[in-house]
Amino acid sequence: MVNDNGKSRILEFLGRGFRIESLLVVGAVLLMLSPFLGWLDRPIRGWLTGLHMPLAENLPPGLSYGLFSFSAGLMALLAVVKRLRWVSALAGAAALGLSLHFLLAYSIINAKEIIAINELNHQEERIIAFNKKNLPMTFMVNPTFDPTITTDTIKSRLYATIHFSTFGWYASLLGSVFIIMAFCRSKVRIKGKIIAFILFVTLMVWYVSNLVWAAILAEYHRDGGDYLVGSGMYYSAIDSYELAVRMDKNFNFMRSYHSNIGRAYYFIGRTDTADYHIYKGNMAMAVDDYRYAIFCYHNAIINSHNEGNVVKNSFLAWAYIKCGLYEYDNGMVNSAVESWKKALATSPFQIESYYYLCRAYYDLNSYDESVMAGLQFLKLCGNKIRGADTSSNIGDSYYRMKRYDLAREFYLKSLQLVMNGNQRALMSLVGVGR
Amino acid sequence: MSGSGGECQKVRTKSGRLRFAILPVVLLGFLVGYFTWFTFFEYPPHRYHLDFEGATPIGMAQDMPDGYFVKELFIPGEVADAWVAISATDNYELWVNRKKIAADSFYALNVTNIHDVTGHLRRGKNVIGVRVNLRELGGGPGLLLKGGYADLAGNEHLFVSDRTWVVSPSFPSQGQGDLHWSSRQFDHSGWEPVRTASNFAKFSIFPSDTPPYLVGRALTGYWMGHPAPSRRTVYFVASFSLGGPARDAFIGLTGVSSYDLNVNEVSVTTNVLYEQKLDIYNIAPLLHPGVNTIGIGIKSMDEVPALFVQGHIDDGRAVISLQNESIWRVTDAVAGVTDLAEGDSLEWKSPVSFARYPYLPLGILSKSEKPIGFSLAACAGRFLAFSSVVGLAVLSMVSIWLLISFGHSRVRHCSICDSLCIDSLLHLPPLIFLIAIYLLKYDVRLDVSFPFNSDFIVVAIIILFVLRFMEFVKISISMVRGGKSLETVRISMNWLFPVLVVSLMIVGFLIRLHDLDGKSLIHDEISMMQYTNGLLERGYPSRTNGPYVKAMTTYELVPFSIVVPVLGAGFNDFGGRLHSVFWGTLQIGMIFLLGRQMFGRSAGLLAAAIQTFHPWVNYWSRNVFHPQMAQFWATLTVFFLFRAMASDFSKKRFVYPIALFFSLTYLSWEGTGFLLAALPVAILACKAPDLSWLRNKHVWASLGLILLVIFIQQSRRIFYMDSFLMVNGKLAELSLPQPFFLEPMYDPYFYFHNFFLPENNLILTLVLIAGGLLVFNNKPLRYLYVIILVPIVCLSNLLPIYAYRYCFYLESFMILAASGVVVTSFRHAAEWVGQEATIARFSTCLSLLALCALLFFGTNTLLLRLFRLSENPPEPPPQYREHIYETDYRSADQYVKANMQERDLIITARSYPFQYYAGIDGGINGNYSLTTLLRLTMFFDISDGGHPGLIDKFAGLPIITSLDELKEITARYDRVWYLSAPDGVFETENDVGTTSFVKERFKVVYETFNSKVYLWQK
Repeated sequence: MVNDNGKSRILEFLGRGFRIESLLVVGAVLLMLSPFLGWLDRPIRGWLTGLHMPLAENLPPGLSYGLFSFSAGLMALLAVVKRLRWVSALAGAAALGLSLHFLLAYSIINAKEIIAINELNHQEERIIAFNKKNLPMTFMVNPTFDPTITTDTIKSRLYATIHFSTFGWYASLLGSVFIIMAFCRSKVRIKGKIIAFILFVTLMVWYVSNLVWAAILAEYHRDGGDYLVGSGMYYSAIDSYELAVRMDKNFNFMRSYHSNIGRAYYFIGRTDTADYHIYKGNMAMAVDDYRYAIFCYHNAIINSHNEGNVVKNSFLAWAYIKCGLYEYDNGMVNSAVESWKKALATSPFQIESYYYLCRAYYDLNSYDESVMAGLQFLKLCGNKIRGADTSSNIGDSYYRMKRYDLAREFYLKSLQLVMNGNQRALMSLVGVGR
Repeated sequence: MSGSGGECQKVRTKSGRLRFAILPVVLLGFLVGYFTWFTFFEYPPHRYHLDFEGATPIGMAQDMPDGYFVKELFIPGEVADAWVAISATDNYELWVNRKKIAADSFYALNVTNIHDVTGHLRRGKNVIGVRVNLRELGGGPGLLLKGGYADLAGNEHLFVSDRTWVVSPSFPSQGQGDLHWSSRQFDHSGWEPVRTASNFAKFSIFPSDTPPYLVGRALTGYWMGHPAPSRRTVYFVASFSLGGPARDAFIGLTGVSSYDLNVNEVSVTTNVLYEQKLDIYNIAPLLHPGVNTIGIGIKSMDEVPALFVQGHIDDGRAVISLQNESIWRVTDAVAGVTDLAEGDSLEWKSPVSFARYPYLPLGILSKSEKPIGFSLAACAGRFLAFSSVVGLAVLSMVSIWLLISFGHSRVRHCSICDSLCIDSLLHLPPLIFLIAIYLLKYDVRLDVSFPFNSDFIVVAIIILFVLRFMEFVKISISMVRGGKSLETVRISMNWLFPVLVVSLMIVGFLIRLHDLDGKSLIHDEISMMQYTNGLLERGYPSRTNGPYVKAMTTYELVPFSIVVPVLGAGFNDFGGRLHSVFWGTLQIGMIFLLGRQMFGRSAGLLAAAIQTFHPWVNYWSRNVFHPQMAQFWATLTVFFLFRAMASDFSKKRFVYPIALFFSLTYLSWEGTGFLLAALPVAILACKAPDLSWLRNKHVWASLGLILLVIFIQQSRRIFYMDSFLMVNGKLAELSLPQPFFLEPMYDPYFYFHNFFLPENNLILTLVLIAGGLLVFNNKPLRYLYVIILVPIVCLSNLLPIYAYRYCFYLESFMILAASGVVVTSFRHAAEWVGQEATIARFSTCLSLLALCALLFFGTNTLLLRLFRLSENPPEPPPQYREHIYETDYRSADQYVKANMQERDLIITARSYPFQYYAGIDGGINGNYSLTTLLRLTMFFDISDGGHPGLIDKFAGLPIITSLDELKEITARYDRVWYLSAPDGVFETENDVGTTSFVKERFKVVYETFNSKVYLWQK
């Protein structure tokens, strides 16, 4: 166990762990672990793992961030062999590039994903407001929940992407840093290191500027459109908006864009455009005239060409949800149920409807339907707090059905999901406060 | 000259020192550019001094923390505009005719603001009520108020705080509790007249963040429109010229029916729905010197478009009022235009006046401030301009540095590298000067814009050139001539350090001892006193919990520490807190010893000085609870580990004390167990790849002892906890770390916000960040960084409960690391040049002293009050700001004790403070605890003949868990007391029905810091 120098072989072996190899191994492990962790933490829905996130919209789903990250990890392992140390530069650069690409992809290239995730964030915000108003003891909120996130500008989308990113992305980023550190500490000649560094930086600068420049220009034209609408130069404003959307297709998925261009169409009386009706619908929504808003959004669908799905998914479903909440607040529970069902029929992404339906059916003494809606929500929900709330809702329905065993089971499930601060489940189990 | 050139050759050269030498130059350039930008190109955000002329600070006779001030005001006619400017001690709520208008707070100051109350003051009797809540002990609440209203004719009427006001020291109620104290029906005739506030002058008046220009005066002017009323889209434009950057620029506007505001061709906001409101925007960041244009588009489908605009634009030379119609032009023909530059071809007309404010179309307007959005172009423009100024300053500074160094090397015949280093060090004093000036921005007694004054830039540059001049002409400074004289000075000062440390310990002891029992114990302290009582009575830390005697299963060591001074000073608040004073004083000496060991005695002394006066440290070294004691043991553990590492773990006398002191730390509070995770990482960080210490049997024996202590403690804990059926167990139920990062309530930023960012710690954090570069070459620093970061990561991720105090034991390490960074970095800087570069060395010494002073004064309130450094300046995390009173259990409990009768029922929010303060000598106990939302930790009473239900964790009182129970129990008594202490949790621990029931049936008879005493007399 002792070598020629009188030192322990085991300790000598372990001591090697603090050299370049260890950095490579740790980096590789992090990269190879990241595909199985969440890269994005979607409100209500939970983690979207690296394996389920395609690298680009048009690529097969198998070519995911996870796969590339895993491959970079394998490459890094190759670099443990001294002769192949230069591979670590490739692996580190690829992994770092992948992490940066993730940020840019979700905030600039294909922003509709982050817009959809932010829509889930707003759904959660509405559920929290619903709880506060109608379920007074259900006030648990994730400490990192931020209802103020928007996705209208590049800056806000970058912030949103960073906000919603989670352990998988952190692992990938950290892993790439370890591998690059290993390369920097390796005995590869300094010239080689400098060339690798310059190549990487040049490539990244070219890549980023190429992507960002078009998006910045598009946003500039969009802002210009806002100014022109404000000044009353509607025709110029429409030109500016159209130029913006030609440069960046992501504007198609932004509500504010449709509303603003719709305003320009509205003042020049272009009733043949979908956005005209969207603007009218938005005005109706602002004064709580949901029926008229729904009528306008239907008109928008009739007049829409390629924007149809956006309008359908977003504006119309949103109007049905808000209409349902308004009706529920005013005691029209039956109408609210119908509105929420229509919201679901319009867009299956409006999963908040299941949550409201669970409670509304309970109020209507339709406990079976309440349980069904609750279970449907639980199936789609990956958020423990919302899951705990829903389990308590289901527990309440079972309690009314006198199925006390099942009620207890769901209250316990609720408590299991969130132990601290779950007063509602606790009090239901203790038998007070229902 | 040649001689000195030869001397320069002796300067020790060191590869790479130029990389660091450029840092002070670039930093100074950046700061000069930054100051220049905000001095000459853009006014920084600032606060506003309000007009209180004629108003008297009013208070009340009693030294109670709450004051309900009321003024009854009779208004003969309709009110067009109304506003109230308030300055009050710590915290206030403004009520007008039972409507809450606003609330504001800033602890340790007279918080000031101005509020629009238009629409709330009406014809006839009006009640203006202000609840002022003082958060500091001593004196009563103070209020300074000046308000005004304008009638329909535009005449202003003022009212001020004076002897006509009345006050109540406790929450007043009439009727069934539903008559609010600020309602017009409330009878204030029995209230006391106010007195001149004795406490008001103690605090400085903190200027308002709301500008008074559009809120604090009556609106004037006319609604404007296009001469052709049939037009539906019209565009108003006003152009004006500014002689410099806009100091204040506010525009208030409303329109029929929607409006868009553009400033200098940038869209600021769009408002599509009209309300009876004047929207106020701060457009100063969008204005520039020269000609500016404001455009307002008004769009309407059915009504005649109309605009009402007010404005105040001040460039420091003149004020421009936008309500003047003559500066506006209007057109209706914009739609077909593609560029407003073609404006000359448009038909611009003078707007017509429709009606005078406050008449049609919208009538009386209330006012609200709204944020503006910055477009990408506006942001980019500002950023580019700012970057240009800063970049130019940096470039100039570097160029001058190179030029002067080149000149210096020629004159002094030394290498250019030496000259660059020498000149770089001369940048340190002006750099520290500007940093110090910049920090004053965060002092609440000064305006945020205070540092941005051209004089400061000039002074910094003068300092730099004076030092350069001295370096050129070689003026010698005898103190830093180096060689033997410096060594002589060093030896002759050997006696000074022990004297200073002992002095600090004496001062620290006196500070901690002063008014030690001035404030009531809080509930955590009282629970420690209960266990101490158990130790005295039963011989082991325990307490009676209803039918049970419960042995202590956490903080086991604390009662043993408390009991020693208690035996001498008695079982009281003073005696209980005395043990922490002892540990706190010892800690000052301990941190010096550790600092001396790691970075030398200067760093140790600086750390000890910071430790002595740091407000958060002082709070815990005057508290019965564990943090100060745990901190002391943790410091000893870290000290001995450092010594053991230095000796390669060869000396047993350093290895075994680690086990002993870690065990003591752990037994003070188990959460400090995460330190155990930090210790091996710290060793690896300092000694890797050398793992020979793993072969050392004493290291393993020491670890074995630690694990044994942990095992015994955990086993004992599980053994004792098993006897109880517990609901809502929190920290007491935890045994081992858990993967809390997978749980929904996981907050990775908690300790980041509450340990690194609070006001007194932020400067330390900034120094630690700046010192990050040193970590790679400095083992003691690396060691401390690991010791701080590993427990923070563990506490964030593995402990399911967060609390500010959990990381307190790391505070000393943070102080020490910051001190180490300062001293080490300057020591390195001084090594760049030889002993002969006297001026450079002098400027380094001067800068070191200045930075030490800055670090010292920046971390306490002796000289500076950098409250604005806090993430949330008005209300920092509890315990960080000095003198803030948390909860006064003592006087509330003693009030009940003094006024209760034999057959009274007493219900408490926290039973054990009442037991401690009221029942300890009189045998009086609360009868019930109240928490209808089951928020307290509670046991199920399974004892023979016990209460068949839930009992509270501390005093074993039965718990009322629903409103029905409360009604049923209170029905049996004629007089019922409810002790709402802490009052802050009343609403969160009980459902709405219960809180309403208590507020309606009970009357507040006594109110003190975060405590209310309710009495229901039937």
